[in-house]
Amino acid sequence: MNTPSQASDVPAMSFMDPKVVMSIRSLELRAKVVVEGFRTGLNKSPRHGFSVEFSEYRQYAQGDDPRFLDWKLYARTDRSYIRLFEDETNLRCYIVADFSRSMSFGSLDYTKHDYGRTIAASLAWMLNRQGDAVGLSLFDERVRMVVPARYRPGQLRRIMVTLESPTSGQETNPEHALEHAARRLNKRGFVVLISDLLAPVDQFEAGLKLLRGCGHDVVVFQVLDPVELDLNIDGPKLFEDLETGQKIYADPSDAGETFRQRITEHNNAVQAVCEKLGAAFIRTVTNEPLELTLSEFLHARRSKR
Amino acid sequence: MDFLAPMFAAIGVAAAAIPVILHMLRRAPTQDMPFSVVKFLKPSRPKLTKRSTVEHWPLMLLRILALVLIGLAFARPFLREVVPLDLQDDVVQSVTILIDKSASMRRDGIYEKVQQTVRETVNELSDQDLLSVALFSNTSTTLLSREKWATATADERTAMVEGVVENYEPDWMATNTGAAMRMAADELAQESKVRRNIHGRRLVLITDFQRGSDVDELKSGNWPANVEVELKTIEPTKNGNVGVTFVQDRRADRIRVRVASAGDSVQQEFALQPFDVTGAGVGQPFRVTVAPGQRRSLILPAADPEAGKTIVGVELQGDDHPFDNVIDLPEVENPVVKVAHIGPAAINDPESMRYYLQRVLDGNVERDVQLVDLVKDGGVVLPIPVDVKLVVVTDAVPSGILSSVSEFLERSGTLLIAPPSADAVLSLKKFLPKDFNAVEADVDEYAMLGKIDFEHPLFSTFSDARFADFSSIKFWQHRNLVLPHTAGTGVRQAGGSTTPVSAPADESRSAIAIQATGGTSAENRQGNHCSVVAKFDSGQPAIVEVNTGERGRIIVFATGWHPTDSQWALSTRFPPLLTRILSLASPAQKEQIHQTVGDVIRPGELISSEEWTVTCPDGTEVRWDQPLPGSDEAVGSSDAGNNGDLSSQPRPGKGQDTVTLGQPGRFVVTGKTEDGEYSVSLIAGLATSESRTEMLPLGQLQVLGIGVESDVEAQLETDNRAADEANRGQLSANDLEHRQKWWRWLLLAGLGCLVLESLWASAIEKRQMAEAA
Repeated sequence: MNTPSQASDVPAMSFMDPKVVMSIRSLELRAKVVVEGFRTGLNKSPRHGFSVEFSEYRQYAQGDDPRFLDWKLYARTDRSYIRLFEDETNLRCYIVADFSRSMSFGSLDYTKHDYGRTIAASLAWMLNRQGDAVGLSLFDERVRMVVPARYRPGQLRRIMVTLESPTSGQETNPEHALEHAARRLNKRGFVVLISDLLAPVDQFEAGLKLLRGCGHDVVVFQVLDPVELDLNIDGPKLFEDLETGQKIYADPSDAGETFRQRITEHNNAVQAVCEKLGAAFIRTVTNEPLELTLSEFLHARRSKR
Repeated sequence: MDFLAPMFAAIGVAAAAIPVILHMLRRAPTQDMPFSVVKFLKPSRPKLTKRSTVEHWPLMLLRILALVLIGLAFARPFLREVVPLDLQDDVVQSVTILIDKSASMRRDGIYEKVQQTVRETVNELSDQDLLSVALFSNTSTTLLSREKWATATADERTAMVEGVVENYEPDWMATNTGAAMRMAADELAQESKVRRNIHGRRLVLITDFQRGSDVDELKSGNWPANVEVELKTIEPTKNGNVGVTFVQDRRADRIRVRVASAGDSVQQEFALQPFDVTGAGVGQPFRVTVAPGQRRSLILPAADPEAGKTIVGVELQGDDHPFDNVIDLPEVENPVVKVAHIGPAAINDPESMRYYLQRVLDGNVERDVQLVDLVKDGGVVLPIPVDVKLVVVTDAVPSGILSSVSEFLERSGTLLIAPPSADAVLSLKKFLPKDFNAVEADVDEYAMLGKIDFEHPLFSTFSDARFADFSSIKFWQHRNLVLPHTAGTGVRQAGGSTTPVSAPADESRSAIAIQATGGTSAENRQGNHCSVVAKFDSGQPAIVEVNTGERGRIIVFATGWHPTDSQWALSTRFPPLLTRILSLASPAQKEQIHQTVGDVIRPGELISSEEWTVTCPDGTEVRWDQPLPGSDEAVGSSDAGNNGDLSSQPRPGKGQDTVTLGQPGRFVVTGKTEDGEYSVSLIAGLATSESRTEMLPLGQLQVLGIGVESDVEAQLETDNRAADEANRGQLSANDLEHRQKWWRWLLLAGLGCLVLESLWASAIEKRQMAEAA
């Protein structure tokens, strides 16, 4: 398990306050800020290979494949150059994001929905810059919108626009979304699930089993609001469920203990399923820095390799 | 302390409990909160709280006080105090007497009652009171202003009132009571801004209050609250009335009239007697039965066929009030124009002149023209019918008809001579000037029209250069008309007022019409017995006009239009020329326009002339250049102006422009046009509404939101005042409250409390927020 508190191998650096990041209106810019801030000092040069997308010329060195010599250039300049191409990636990544109404809760200045889609946008931006094919799938009780995994110009823009969609639906069912992602990925791929995972654990487990059975790598982000962990609210309230509309009058001073006990049991069950099925699990609370969350993600990826 | 509306005081006190009750209400201190994991929550038992202590006493007290003060303000409180009426010695009453002078006031018995009522009303006034007197029908006129009244002595005031009473005379206009009342009330209300010491404003309306009165003006806008109306209705000696009005009918040859009976009429049997232009009855009267409140339309014949008299009006008999019983009717003229022909009655002979004459007259689209042959086959000669205005002579006139021709010319007839030979002209020599002669001309190949007087009415329609070319008409033969030496000529060879209409005497003999440039040919025509209108290129007269009698005329052509003599009948100039002669001989029938008394007309537009004269039914005349009656330059027509029969609007620098039809009857507008004198007949009838003389309900004005004190109510009010002696010296509660006006201060205090409460509550909230932060 990787939790923010255990991310000790992350180099000591100062993180941006998530409140500041969330105040950036453009989702693309927000993702860029998060990733650029996170990647400062890291090796970011993509690999060059031989493909159809021309990148640049390099002087021929002994041992290079003579097939890639540019003979026309040789004829003109009497010098040997080989053509370099952008290497095509083999990694296909699907980001499956929860857009149900439960994600629209937020006790801070922003909601879980804002936080979750910022994570999704940051991952998409980072993977796209690495040359990986990134796709997106939004779901509530069923899959609402899909952007197929591609690596081509405009893909990142399409993902950002899709992420601007508002929350919807009456309930959350990650099983359908995960099944859908499994069908879309023909060859071995990489699936990132971003959700509050407040739905019944068995639904989530069924979808995860299918993905893992297909051989896909899975990273699960559970996004929670601080209040959803400790019910730190003043005075009694008439709580109204965002998805079902159910109303319950509760006094946190009375019901807090029971609530914390139940939510902890649920979260433990979710984490146990992930561990059991070999999926990386990252629980992130919306008051934590986003860079830390990305760092957890890379850590999880690295450990997979 | 007393209240005018104590109910509001009770409501205000009761409303004071509202803030307390709201404060003490039990409530569950809950707040809705959307949440994502409600399923993990354990429901708690709701806790109800009850605030038994007041947190902010001053705020609650301010709220209670504001409600109580506003309630008290609406209750209109006042203190009972003794304010004797003699403190108001300096206040005066302003009165406007509005006297109806519409046509319905012409009924019997009303005139004397109006005079008596005016005198009584004036006698009721005190010396300090202000008085204004105005007359109204469809408009109102102020006869006596307050300024004059205020500055006049007692004797002068008496003289002024007597002057108003003696000069009172109803006119023929409709009644617009609403507009007159509105104007008088506005004047009274406006006066209160100028004079502070006026206590009462009263409008005394002296009228028959007939149903036809127009009170629509009172339906819009609010009546000034401080102006009281005292309605003094005047009734005639006998109730009921029946009126007759003209109804426009689409068919021109019949006359439709409507007989309408007022709702309070008693009689039902009436008679309609048509009369002719002399006022004498035509035929037997028509019996009409009209029930009260009903009306009936009848169609009258246009003329009495037996007597040959034309009906110009109709009188309703059997009604007690004759003011609306006589109307003038439009004259129905025979639309068919007759033209007589003296000559061979060869209808289908293209070699005869009649053949072409018939075709020209049949093609007249404006009027139906009937051609009558006076010389029948077998030598039978008929006299010229009375209704014929044009006689065309195309052959020698038989001697048996000469006397008829003579009568015809005396009747202002027009004789057109188109001689196929010199004998045809000579057969009428007795009607021509003494030395007038005609001989057969010796024409070399053909002749053409050389000079034409385009200022003459015969050719004025051809004066435009586009139509002035007569050179294509060739005359194979013609007669030489020998004129007396004294004869004037509109066509002179040189140096005259007109220019030769033919081309210069070139060898090609082409005739090109040239317009006349001078203006004296008309003078020549008037000054001489006969004049030459056109000449041949040889210089011989082609067309000669001879004036006979006062308005009769003979037009002599020097040639016929049949093919033997000329190509004239085949020319496009021929039909317009003959039509022109016909219209000069028999002008189009007079236009007749039906109007209502009070309408404003523009005589200049009616006859398309700037110089006009309007002849009124009573014989008076109004001219275009007559200054506006009543103005500084008014001369001659002061009677008409003062009686309201005629009023007119001035035209800047040129006399008047419009004329108001001020009396019923036939107005004739005459004026000079290019074709001579022209007239239009206008018939002004009484407004239909004036015949509806039954009285409106007395409550009509109250329905319209006007405070009315009718005669009965005024008497009751006087009785009540006499019975209640205790109140005579004391102001009423209304007056006391009106003087003290405490409600203003209470309302101000209540609003002040609300403002203070709002500021206080805002300050408390800010402080709590600061503490919470």
